[in-house]
Amino acid sequence: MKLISRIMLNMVLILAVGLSVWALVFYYSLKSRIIRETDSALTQVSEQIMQRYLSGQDHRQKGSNNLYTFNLIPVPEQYAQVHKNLSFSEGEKAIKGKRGEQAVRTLQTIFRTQDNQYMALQVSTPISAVHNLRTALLWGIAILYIALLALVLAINYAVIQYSMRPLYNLLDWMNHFDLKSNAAPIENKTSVQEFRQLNLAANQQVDRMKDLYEQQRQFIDNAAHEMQTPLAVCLNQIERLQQKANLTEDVQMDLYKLQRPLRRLVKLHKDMLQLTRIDNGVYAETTDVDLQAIIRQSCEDLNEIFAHKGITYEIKSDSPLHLQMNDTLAHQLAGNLLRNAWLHTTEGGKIIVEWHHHEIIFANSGEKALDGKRIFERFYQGEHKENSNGLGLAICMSVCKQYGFQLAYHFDSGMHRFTIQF
Amino acid sequence: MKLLIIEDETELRRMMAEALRDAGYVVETVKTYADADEKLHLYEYDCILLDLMLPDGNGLDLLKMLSARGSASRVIITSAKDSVEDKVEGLDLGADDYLPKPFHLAELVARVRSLIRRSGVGTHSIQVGNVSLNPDDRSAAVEGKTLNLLHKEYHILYYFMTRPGRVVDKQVLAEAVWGDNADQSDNFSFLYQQVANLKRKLKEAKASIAIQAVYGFGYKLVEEA
Amino acid sequence: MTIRKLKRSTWAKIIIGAIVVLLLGLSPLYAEYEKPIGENDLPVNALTFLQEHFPNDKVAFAKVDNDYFCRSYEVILSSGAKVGFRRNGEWASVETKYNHTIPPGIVPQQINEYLQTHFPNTVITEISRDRKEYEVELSNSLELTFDSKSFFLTDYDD
Repeated sequence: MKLISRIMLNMVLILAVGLSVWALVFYYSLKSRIIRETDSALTQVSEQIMQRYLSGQDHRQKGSNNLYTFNLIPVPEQYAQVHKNLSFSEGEKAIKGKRGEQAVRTLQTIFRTQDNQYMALQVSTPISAVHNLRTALLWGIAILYIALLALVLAINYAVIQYSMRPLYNLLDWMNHFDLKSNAAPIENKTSVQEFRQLNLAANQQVDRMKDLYEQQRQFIDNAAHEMQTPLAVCLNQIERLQQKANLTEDVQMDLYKLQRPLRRLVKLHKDMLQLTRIDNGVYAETTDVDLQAIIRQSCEDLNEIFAHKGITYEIKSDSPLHLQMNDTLAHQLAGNLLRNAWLHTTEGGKIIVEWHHHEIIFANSGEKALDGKRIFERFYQGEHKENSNGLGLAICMSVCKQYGFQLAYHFDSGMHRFTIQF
Repeated sequence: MKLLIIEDETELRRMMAEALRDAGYVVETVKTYADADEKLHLYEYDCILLDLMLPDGNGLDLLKMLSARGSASRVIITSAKDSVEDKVEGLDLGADDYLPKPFHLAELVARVRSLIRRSGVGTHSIQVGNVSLNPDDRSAAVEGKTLNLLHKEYHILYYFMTRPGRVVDKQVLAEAVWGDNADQSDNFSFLYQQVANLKRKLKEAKASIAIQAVYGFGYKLVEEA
Repeated sequence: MTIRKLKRSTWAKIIIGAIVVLLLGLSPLYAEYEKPIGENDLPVNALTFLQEHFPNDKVAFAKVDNDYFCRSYEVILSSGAKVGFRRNGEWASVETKYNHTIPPGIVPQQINEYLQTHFPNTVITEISRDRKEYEVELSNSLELTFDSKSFFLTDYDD
């Protein structure tokens, strides 16, 4: 998941737990303090009443005012011993002057008079106000909790987004980077040390890539010259020898045999160069190419050349087939695929070319499937054929990559199928 | 006809010179940019074979100089780079042809001949024995009478007639006429058939040239007495 | 200092500190402030004091107060008087609001003299003391504060 989502998730979990604990602590602590106020008042009043009663000043056993109601009840000694001499309780009581029953908090104190009579003093005070306060408090805390959580998360999100901007810039730049077309170094102003480091590393890598790329190009250019010249010399020497009139047939045969591997080398070299050139964007020019004409002409020629194999071919489609691409590359793409088809189809087999909407299919009959993953690799040959160097399909793939075409292979119903989607 | 070969690779230069001398041309050779520059300033040539990658300079600069002087015609660029950019630039600067290495010496000779013929006055046709070929309208005739040839047959005849007396490798012939598609074939029956047809037609028309098979690898065009 | 560099021991201290704070915050929940006690649970010298100055009164009600770990006792006598004791059993306050006489021997002589001089028609309803001073409440609701050593008047409250 994204970095910011992960951070937010962790924050939510930790904060939720932490704030919950705080909220609980706060709520209970406040709750008990509120009650303590009431209880403290009850205690004071109880003591006053006790003192007054004990000193003989007030003999009342019952009484009430706006705030308190009290009751003095004589109790036997067992009662005093069984019950706690000081206890708070909550319940409902009927209060004079008010209809129905009210919620009250009662403090019961048990004391002993001079004549050893145990008295239970109950002092009550209405507590619904406190209850309301408690409820309000609960709501208040809940809302505060949520608000605080939301606020903290929102602030965090904003801060992280803002602080991470250089990182997102870098990621964006990386996604759009392309050595050939979009190779500008990254700007990304920031004062954060780590991001600066990343910027620096990125730019250094870019420079290194550019250097390597340039070195490669130079190498290729030089290699071309260096390799072709000795080859040219070899072949031309043989050509010279062939023209000498006094050669025996054996010698002529030998010279001919000598030429074949040399020619293969030349072709190999040309194909390798071609691959690199395509990859380096040498064939950037595009025109409107009539691919149908190219396919038809190639098929005719190939059919003639491979007539001895007795292969039948069929071009199933007739609709115009025009593409915007480089003419040379178009010829190579179609030519390589068709040549492969004729070369690798067994005697008496068939070849079918068809196209619709955005797809061209070259199919030829075959016995078993080729390794679809590897056939487009350079130098890969399924069954080694003497005349092929394994680069034909790799060149096709490079051409397709340049224009974003999809080149794929599958085998079904006894036919190898190469499809180009554009 | 005087030719100048500008090529730094010694063996290649020698072989090119030999092949062209055998074809009847006067040939001078240089191997550096400086020498080439000197020669070009002093003399005129009917055809210049220019290698782009010289040790002390880029052949294109020589071409620019020739172009400025107005004598850029009749330059055939030879180069190992086979670079599209060089080709375009070279032809833009006025070069006539671009022959990438490695090339067949026979091809070289044929191109030089073709170039000289194109820029010369008079008929453009190729004549060997009593057979003439007109590249402008792709027609062939024996002693004036038009020879009815199929497309491929014409090209085969043209190929032979631009290399009379040279042994022609069947592979090379196939590639020259059928293009890249023929480079992986190991069965040349398609070629044999066409050549056989051509031979028959020539014989029927009583041509004084014949295509001789060279056992093992090809043919040779010979003039019969 | 980056988070990574904090050692385990520091982390442990932080966590323990947090727990302590939490517990303190929760303290209202568990300390039982006032508990009733029987007569015999009073400190010995408290009982002695009561016997000495209130021989005729019984203990009507006694409780212990654990407010903030500072223990004190409160006793209501059958005559209506209220006496407060410190943890060690020394008296801290005596209140006789409803029967008007603090027994002799409790109020220091100097204070009595002073009161007789300046407030002859009043009676002490409450007296309380700590290390520094004595505070006396009179029947005319006047509050006087005396220094413990010199018994000079330091405060005068109406």
